[in-house]
Amino acid sequence: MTVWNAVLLTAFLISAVSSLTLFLKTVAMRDDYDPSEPKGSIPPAVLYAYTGAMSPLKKETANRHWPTYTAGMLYHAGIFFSFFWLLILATGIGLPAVLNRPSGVLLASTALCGLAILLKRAVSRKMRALSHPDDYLSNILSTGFQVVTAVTLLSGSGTAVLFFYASLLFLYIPVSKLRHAVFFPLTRFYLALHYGRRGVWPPPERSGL
Amino acid sequence: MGTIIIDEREFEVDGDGFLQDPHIWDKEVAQLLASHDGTGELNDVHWKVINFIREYWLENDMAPMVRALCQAAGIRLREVYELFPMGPAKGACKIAGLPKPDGCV
Amino acid sequence: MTISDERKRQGLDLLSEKMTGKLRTHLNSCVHCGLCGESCHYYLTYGEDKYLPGHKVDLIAGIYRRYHTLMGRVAPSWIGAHDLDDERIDEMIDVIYGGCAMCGRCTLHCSVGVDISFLVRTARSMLAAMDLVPASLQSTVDAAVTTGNNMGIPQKDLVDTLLWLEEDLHMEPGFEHAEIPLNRKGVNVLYTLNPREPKFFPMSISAMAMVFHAADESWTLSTDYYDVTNYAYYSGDDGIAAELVQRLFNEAGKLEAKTLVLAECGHGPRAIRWEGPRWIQTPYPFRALTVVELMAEYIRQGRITLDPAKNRETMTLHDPCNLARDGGVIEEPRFILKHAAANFIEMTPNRENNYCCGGGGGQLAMGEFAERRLRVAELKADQIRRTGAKIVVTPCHNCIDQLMEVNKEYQLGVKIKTMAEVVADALVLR
Repeated sequence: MTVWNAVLLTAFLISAVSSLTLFLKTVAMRDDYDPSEPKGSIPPAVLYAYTGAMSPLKKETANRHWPTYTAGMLYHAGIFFSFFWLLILATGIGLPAVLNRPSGVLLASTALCGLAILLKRAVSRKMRALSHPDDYLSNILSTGFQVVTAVTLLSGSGTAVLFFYASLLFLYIPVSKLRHAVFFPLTRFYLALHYGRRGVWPPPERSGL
Repeated sequence: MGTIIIDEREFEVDGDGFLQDPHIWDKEVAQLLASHDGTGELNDVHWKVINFIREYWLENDMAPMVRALCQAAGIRLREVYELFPMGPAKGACKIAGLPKPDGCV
Repeated sequence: MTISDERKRQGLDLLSEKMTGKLRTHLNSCVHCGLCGESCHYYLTYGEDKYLPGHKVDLIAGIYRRYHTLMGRVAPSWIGAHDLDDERIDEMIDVIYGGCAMCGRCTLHCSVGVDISFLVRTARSMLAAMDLVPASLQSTVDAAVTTGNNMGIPQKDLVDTLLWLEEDLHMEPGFEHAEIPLNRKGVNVLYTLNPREPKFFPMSISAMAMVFHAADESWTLSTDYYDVTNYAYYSGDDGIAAELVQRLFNEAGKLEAKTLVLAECGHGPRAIRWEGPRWIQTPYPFRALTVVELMAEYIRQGRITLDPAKNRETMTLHDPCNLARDGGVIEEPRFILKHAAANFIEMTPNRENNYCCGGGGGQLAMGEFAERRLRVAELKADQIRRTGAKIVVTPCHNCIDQLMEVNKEYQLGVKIKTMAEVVADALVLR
């Protein structure tokens, strides 16, 4: 194990433990006892919250914003793909070298999506008004992560820079808005409890009663 | 909250157009308010309703029930809504110079 | 406005008291993507940053970050953590009360799933704890607390009106023996009223009496406590909200009613049916449902028969937000109209995606922001106009009052009706 492997592992552990703590502390928090008689059923609503309700056709934040939505989805896919490569490179699992180039090109393009979103945030008056320094840094770290992974894959150079950069990203997650990664599943769950109990989710068959 | 100007007269009103100071009200003001909200020229039946609301309010510090004003003016319920297109609250009570009633009106 | 430190402390304490897993989750999830504006009728109308739902989230989430997170304590400006200072409070009153109908449309469409209207209501609760509810809204809440109904109707006036309505009902052919029973014990249905009905618009009470008569229902009205509204839901004051629900709960118990039926209203049924049991931390021993659901049951069970030919004019439906999007009463009004109206046409968008009429969130009661309320309703006016309908039916008295103004303001030339009136008009007596 190189020293950079050790740095990465340490950063990962700190991040994972903090994030998990954040998650578990929230889950362990009390919630109001809700004795209202349900109209709908909650399990299908939970399933729907993570599936049908995420469909871009169902959300105006997607279907009234196709360019941003598409860029956002690719950007997030790129982040997860970078984590995948980070795992491969850090653990020393060998993958056929033929995958490096297409993966690198793919990540370069998803990074462009991230960059586009960053530019939108910096240029649009509305987005600037809504943004804090944390929003810019969070994007820069996540977009940069994809750039560094892409460069590592395309150049075949050492992994030290990637591991260092990924360490920074790991450490920043629990103290920034990147923690939405921790809260996202919970958000969907709570929303499913709300709409499910009241019979709004999943939408009923439209054939009447 | 705001002012409205009708026929060169200026009135202080709340956000919903009810007179800020109900005591500046007189018959001329009522007619101006009625022209302003589309009720139009006030006839005898209008006046029966408006006078009843006004007197009821001065005595009880609240608007009367629609039942009471129907009976006092000798009209049927649906006539109230024909006489005052904005209804008894935002129409008749407003023209009678009352402050806005609480609730879903 | 200058607010004392002690009052600010009360606001912050309330946020801590309310800190559940659900609240903490939603406070931590917004990513400031800025895509929510196009789902909000305020933002669509004004295009101003302050109306962006994400901004409303940040008003309260920023305070949360300042007082409840490590980064908020050490580097507040970096993450947009914000003191609860006078400037912030002014901004909150302006936007949290005056620039949001709590219609929940942004919640449904949020890219992450942040329950934005829940956060707005929590922010209102903070403001209520600091005694900062807009005067007109507070006065409606106070009227409900002190007089037992939000319009301060004396009991005698109510009784006189109900007796008068009953007499009037007897003149209708087929309803010579119809009743408006008062304070009857052990009946199946305890019906409620929006005080606006007995006070100014009692046709819907007569209409429901006709429907109950046709369905041969055993029902009653209480003259002690009958108010279906709960403006404390909008002011944010949970203590009063619970108190008002408790009174209705007690009344249903006193009259030994099997079913509590909630009159046509949006926020009231939401408050009583969905939030109430949580506020009073007690499950209801009786069934609680909206009158829309009840009328749909009557039709389905064949207890009433309707002839759609009796309502020939083209009719459209406005979905009250709290009833549809946050109450699941979505298909029932359509089912009813299928049986009660010959020419029903949907407005677009509809159901859980419908736009607020502009009067929700307590806006109708808050004269302070009346100008905005009418301006943001242009969207609704356009929606109605595009249907070409002559009648707009909506099962909410609050929406009805707003739509009556919208009708005049935007010269739509439509009639606005309650669901009960439409059903009563279509009744076929056996």
